[in-house]
This record gives sequence, C-alpha cells and structure tokens, in this order.
Amino acid sequence: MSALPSTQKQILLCRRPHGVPVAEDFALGEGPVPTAVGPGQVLLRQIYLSLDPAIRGWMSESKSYLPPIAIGAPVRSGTLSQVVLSSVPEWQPGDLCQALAAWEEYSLVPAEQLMGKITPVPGIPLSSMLNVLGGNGLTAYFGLYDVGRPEAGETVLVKARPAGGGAASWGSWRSSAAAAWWASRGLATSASGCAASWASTRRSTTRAPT
Amino acid sequence: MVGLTGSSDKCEWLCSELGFDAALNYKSPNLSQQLKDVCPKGVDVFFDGVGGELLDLVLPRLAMRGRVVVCGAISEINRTEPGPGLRNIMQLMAKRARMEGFVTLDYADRYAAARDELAGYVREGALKTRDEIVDGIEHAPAHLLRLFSGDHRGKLMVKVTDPCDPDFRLKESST
Repeated sequence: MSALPSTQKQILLCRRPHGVPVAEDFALGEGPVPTAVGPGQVLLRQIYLSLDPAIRGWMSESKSYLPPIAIGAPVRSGTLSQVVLSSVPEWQPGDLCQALAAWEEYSLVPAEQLMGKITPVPGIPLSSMLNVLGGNGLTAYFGLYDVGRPEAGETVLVKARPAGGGAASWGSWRSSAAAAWWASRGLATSASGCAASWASTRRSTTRAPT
Repeated sequence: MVGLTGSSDKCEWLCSELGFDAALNYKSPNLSQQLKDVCPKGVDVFFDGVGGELLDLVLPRLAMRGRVVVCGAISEINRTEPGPGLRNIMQLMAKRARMEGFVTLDYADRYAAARDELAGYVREGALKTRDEIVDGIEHAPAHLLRLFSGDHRGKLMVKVTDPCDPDFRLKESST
C-alpha cells in the first residue's frame, strides 16, 4: 500500500446556516492525515460522498439523533469509502464500505460508523452502492416493508424527489422509493434521493414481508 | 403508485420513465382536488419526506387505516423560524390511521440481505437509478445546494477518488 500523504483537503463547516445554506457557510481547508488507528478504529479513504438533506440538519444546532457538526469540523456525510488501516479484524485494508464519515479525503472513525461491506456487483456502477443499494434504497425498503406495509390493491403516495436523500438512514437521508413489494413486486416507484424506479409488473399475489 | 413532484416535466418523467401510475405537481394550487381525483379511495400509504404543508394536505386524503411513514421533513429543514404545525393531525383519529417515524440505521443488521434483494432488481432492470456525480471534494457545497433548489433528477454525489487496487485485486464494476 502506497504511503499516505501528510495533508488532505477537507470541507469545513465555518458557521451555522441561516435558512438555505450558502457557499460562505463552508470553507475549503487543509488538515492532517491520521497515520495510526486506535483500538476499534478504522482509517478510511473516501471514494464518493453522498449528498443528503440530512447534512443540512446536522449543520444546525437542533437536537436530533446525532449531534450537530462542530463549527470548524469537516462536514459529516454518508460516504462510500475504502479501508486504509484497521485495528478491527472484521475490516481489512482494501475493503469497500458504506460509512458515516465526512467531507474529507481521509477519516479516522470508530468501526461502528461503517455500515456494511460493499462488494462491487458486475454491471452496477460503484456509485449505485450509495444510491439504490445504499442509504436511499435501504430507506425505501425498510420504510415500506416494515413501516408502511402496503397491501395488494392499496395506493401508495410518494414525493418523487430525486434529492440526496435516501430517507432516514443514519444521515436522515430521504428516500421516497415506494415499493409495495408484497402487493406487486417491482411496482413502479421513484426514490426521492435516488431517482430509482421499479418497473411495474403488477401481480395480484400478496407476498408477506419477511 | 402515485408520485408528487415539482413540475409538469418531472410528472411526465415519473410516468413515462419511472413507471408511476400517476404523478401530480405538488405546486398546483388545487393539489388537494387532484389527489381526490387520482386517489378516489384515499391514500393508504404516504411515504413522507417532506412534512409541513404537504403532509397537512395529504392527511385528510388518507384512507381508513392509512399509514404515514415519516422519513423526513425537508420542507422544515431550512426554516429560520418554526413552521405553523399540522392543522389536520386529527385525521389520524378520524381515519384510524398511523403515523410512524423510522431511522434506517436501526435496520443495519438487515442491510446485507436487503442489498442482495435490491441488487437483483437492479440487474433485472426493474430498478433504475440515476446518479449526478461531480468530481472533486471542493465542489461538495455547491452540489449540496442543488438538493434544495430542485435542480437535479438523480442522486447527488461527489467523487473524491478511485478505489485503490494495488495489492488486493479489487475490480471495480464496469460502468
């Protein structure tokens, strides 16, 4: 593995946004690259950053399920990253993962912030692992399967906004991918956040959720 | 499957490209009537990432025993003052409906199985995706702002670098 650089680019939050964020809320900075991992930690190199409405939530001081991004800190983000160094046996250098990291090139994170190993799927772009096979798709999947539970013949309404948000993953990513799986597998929908659609095949059988 | 989006172009796109049964422009002044027309039996499941006024408008359109899946509230996220709140919350009682929030993080132990299933649909062509990727971490802020302007149709992402494969024979899937 080639030597790590000593510095890296980071995008920092330099002030809390007022309303819609503006460019001046952010700053391009240069920070050190961590060179060692502590117990339970992994050093990641970011491949893709996922842009989601959740990031805006973290930029404010509102109480939420994650603490606000500190002023001067790199902007927290969902990412698709590659493991560089690891003190955790489950994660080896070279592994690809979906993670909660930040807008920077390298992040030192607790292993708990790695949300699943990514195995490239032939024919599917790696970026899709953050989209339909990432937070967006997963949010749609669990939001419908577990929470909405539509039945055969029911009407599902969704705001089909191709925004950055697979619904509420740890980043409160928004996804409006509405798939009435058990009503008609592959029912057409669109994922807000991943502009995904399941082609409509409409079947009359009802399939119970697992 | 009924979609809501912000322009008639996008409505057309939802139906022709993404296979929706119907699509409505949520900026229409008579959206409530349009929803009644398109969903005469009411809405059984509303997957809500918007909250606010749109949620308030949909609540009276819920069918009996309808469900609101609370995914997020993007309408509220850039507010500088608290919004007016829901006027139609008692529709939940009238319709014996359920409004339930969730966080995907809680399902982490099922991610792998869910991904396998979703990957199958992608390979079958049943699930289509569209990515809008910009290169370079320095473009992240400007790209993020497109989320709120609606100026996009795909998922917004920033590419920072390529995966490293010197020693591990990691093959990136072909694009």
